[in-house]
Amino acid sequence: MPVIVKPLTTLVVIALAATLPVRPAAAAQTNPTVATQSATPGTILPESIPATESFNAIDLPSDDGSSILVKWAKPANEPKGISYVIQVARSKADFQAGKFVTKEVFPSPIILGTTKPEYFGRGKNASQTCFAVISPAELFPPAKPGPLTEARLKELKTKKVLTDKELGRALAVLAEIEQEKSQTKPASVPATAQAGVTKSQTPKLTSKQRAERKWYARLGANIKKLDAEALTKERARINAEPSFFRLGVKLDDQTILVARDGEPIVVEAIAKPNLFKWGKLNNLTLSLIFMSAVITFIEIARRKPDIFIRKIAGLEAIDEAIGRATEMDRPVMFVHGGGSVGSMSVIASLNILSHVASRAAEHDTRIRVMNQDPLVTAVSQEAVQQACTEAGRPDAFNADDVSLVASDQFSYVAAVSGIMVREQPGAIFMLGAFGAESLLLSETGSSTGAIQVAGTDSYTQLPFFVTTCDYTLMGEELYAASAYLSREPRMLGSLRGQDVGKAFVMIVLLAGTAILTVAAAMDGPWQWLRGLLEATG
Amino acid sequence: MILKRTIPLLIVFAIGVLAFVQEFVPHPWSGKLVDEISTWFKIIGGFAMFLGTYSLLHMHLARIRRKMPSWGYSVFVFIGAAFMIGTGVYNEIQSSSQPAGPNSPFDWFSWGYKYIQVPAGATIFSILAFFMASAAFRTFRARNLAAGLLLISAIIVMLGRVPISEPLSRWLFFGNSQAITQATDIIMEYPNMVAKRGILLGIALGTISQSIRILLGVERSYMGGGD
Amino acid sequence: MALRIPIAISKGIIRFLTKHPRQVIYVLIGVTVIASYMVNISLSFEPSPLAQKVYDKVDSLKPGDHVLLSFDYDPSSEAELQPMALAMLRHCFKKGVIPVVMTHWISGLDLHKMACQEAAADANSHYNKKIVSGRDYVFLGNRPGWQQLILQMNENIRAAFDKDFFDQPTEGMKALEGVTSLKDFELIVNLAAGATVEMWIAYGSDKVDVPFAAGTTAVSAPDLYPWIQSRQLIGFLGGLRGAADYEVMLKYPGRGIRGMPAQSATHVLIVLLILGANVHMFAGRFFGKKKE
Repeated sequence: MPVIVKPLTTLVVIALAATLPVRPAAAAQTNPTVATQSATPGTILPESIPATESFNAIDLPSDDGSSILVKWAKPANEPKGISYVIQVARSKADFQAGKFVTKEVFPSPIILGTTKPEYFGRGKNASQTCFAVISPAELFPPAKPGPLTEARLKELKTKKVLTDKELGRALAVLAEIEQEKSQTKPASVPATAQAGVTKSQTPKLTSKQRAERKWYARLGANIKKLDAEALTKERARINAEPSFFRLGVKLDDQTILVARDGEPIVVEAIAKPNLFKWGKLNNLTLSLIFMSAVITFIEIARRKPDIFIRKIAGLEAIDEAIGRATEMDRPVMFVHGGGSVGSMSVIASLNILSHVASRAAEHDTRIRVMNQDPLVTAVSQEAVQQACTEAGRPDAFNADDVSLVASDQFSYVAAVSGIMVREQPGAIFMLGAFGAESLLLSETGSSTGAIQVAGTDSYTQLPFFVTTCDYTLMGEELYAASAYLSREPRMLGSLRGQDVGKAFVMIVLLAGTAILTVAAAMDGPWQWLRGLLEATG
Repeated sequence: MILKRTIPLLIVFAIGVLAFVQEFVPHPWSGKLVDEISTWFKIIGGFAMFLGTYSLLHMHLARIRRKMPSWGYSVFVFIGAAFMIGTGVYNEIQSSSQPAGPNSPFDWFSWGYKYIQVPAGATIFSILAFFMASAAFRTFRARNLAAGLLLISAIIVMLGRVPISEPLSRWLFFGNSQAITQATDIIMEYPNMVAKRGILLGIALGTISQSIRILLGVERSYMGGGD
Repeated sequence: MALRIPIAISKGIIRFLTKHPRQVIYVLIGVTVIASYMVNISLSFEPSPLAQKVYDKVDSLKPGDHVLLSFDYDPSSEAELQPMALAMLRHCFKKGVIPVVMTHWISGLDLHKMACQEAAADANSHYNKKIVSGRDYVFLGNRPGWQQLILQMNENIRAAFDKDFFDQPTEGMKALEGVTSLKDFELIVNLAAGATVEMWIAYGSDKVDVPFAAGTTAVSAPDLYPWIQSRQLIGFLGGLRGAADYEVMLKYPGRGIRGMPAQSATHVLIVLLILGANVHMFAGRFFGKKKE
């Protein structure tokens, strides 16, 4: 039974609900800045130009240092056909010299601050702020290195990327390729050729030439990698330097820049890499709360080890299934399913494997473990060997009984099904991650008359297991196996912490739904709470 | 003990915390760390393939040597492996300087894939249709109210997923050809989703809890040996 | 008297069915599917609203726009997902949209290559367009890494794939002009036999804010409803029916539409078997009580 606790959130919600008066839903506000046609078509009016003090550029928050946020207030009058132009230069002098890049931004809801609450918040101002995200390195891209030519190869030798010997080899291969190109003519495309394919006649190469071409291709790939790294560094350098911005309004051929005292305003900003994604603060908060609950209960369990855990039928049935297989003098089969050793369900199933192997060794029953992943095979062999040793039966372990069957999904199914039908196991455990093979395996197992215990966190396959197996462990019941079977207090404590976390999630879901419903119609602190609850990743 | 237990646990803890922190840090160093870890991940994956292949071939060789029951099937493992590995290596030698793809001539490796692997995989997958029918026949009995509701939902969804639901619906529901399809969509979007979300939430929280146990070293089954 | 023989035959059939249900069911399914393919039945149907959304999105794109197609399936799911892949590629070629095809599943590489080449040939014959790899589409092939690969593509697609499947360098490739990372795509589509849809949403489309659609096997299709409700998926194609829906909208019949009669017949047969089994169960209970 989960321990019900009253989280801080609930208290906050209740306190706010008690103190705030319920107001009738505000009437829909008309947008005071609805675009209207200017008096004279094609003329930019002063009220169509953004306010000078509102124009600003800052480092884009919560990014990797590649972008700058340019923002300005939406003008009172935004006539049809108008657009905003942002002029970007590397220095103030470049504007005079005409060395700047222009980015045009068209009025639409996606340029308003309301689409990015993580930058502009949720206040009224957000709907009156326009923005554009500028990446200086994209506007002023570094020069890309050209293809591998003789000149380039010599340059690389100068930079000590290539040795003399490598340069010689590369030049020789390059000369060969150039010669081939001048001699080779493209053949006419036959009627049977596949679409999108052009064939050309290439001369036959000797094995030495083929080896040299292979070496040259590898050299080219390495140089490309170095070029890509150099480009990345260059982009980072461009982004780290100050960039200068001017804002203007454009209508047809007319562009008017935002100015003060006749001088266009130039703002400066530098993109900096940030250390935290503020939009994910709520994710972090909830993760830490949940982790704290689990760790707290692990500690409590050390002092008070007697923790109740309800019966899980599938896990209780393990001993019964192995006993049945022993009576029928048939082997026990353990099917891991897919998934690598990093998969949670595989880790959970390894716990059960140890327990099953130990019981099987005690009863002198053969156990066959079917693996689909090489690393899982290695870990399973260790687990079974250790279990047999701890049961006092190290001789019961046979490495060939714990082997890789096949890496491909349906090859695995075919092999395991065949083994099931031939060896007629008395008990089959299917625990791990399964895909479409779940029904194939469980139905084949059912046809052999074996008792079947299945468990998976692949919830799409749960219905198939439930219909065809005797016992099914659903999702988190599989994860609870290690705690359930070992009855170790720390593990049971983590289960209790998990239950507390689940209770917390249920309460937050209910409270959050209520808050979001109310916040849809009201302002003030409700919007702040709404921001806390909505994920903005 | 230190090499077998302490150092692996420390590595798990360090990498786990780094991976968690990386999710919240946009700095380029965070991206570089991800790149580096993924490169190592690829390298380890390559070695793992050798382990698995050795295990597979060793097991089947033992079965052939000892003439164990059904050892004949093990011979096919070697025939198949030899064929695909041999043709793959041969292709690699032949096509060293020529690009792969549409310009490559006929090769046995592609033939083996196209005419053995593909049909075999599709055949095994198609057995699912037969097994689905027999499982449904065996299981969908209205023994009680819950089973009855499951039965009715299953019939509606099975019919709603195929085009024949439209003429059937028109006949049963006074000309409304979309009745069964709409009922299917309602069942899939609401009661089905309710159950799935509950299970999903439980799995997600269970995953977090298990991850914490692994990070703290409470759960050690992935290391293979016991305590 | 006249009824004795038919009743005896019926009882014999029911006894046989009860003793060997699996075998009878397998034979019935086999006969139904084969007969459905041999007899030419045309079924008209309306595409599902979710498939319609995927189609409409691709249809709204302009020539020169880029779509990322991640074909994450292998031969075992070829029957359901290859028709979807072909239909989407044909649509892209028809619209002049540039599909950039990749995969996480190395075992399906040849299938995906065949899909690209078959669709390109179809575009030649149906839409009178000469489709060239590297210019009108790119098949990037596979790189290991799963989530890491997607994260890398978020930063720089050429760093993730320095060459395409045909060994042509992606640097300077015409089909990838204007595309630096995932942000530069107008749509991402994942045709998945496994759990890659969640991976693409978490690491791909959500991070770069690009619309995302999916196609899956019928078994996995119900999983996608939460993503539709949270608007992280604009629509999806479910199983062979999804492929058939797309072919109907594209007005290009293929294996999807051809498979509908067989699928319909099989579903009806299973429903009849279930109903028959329940009638048998209730009849047994009723007549059992009557005897008492």
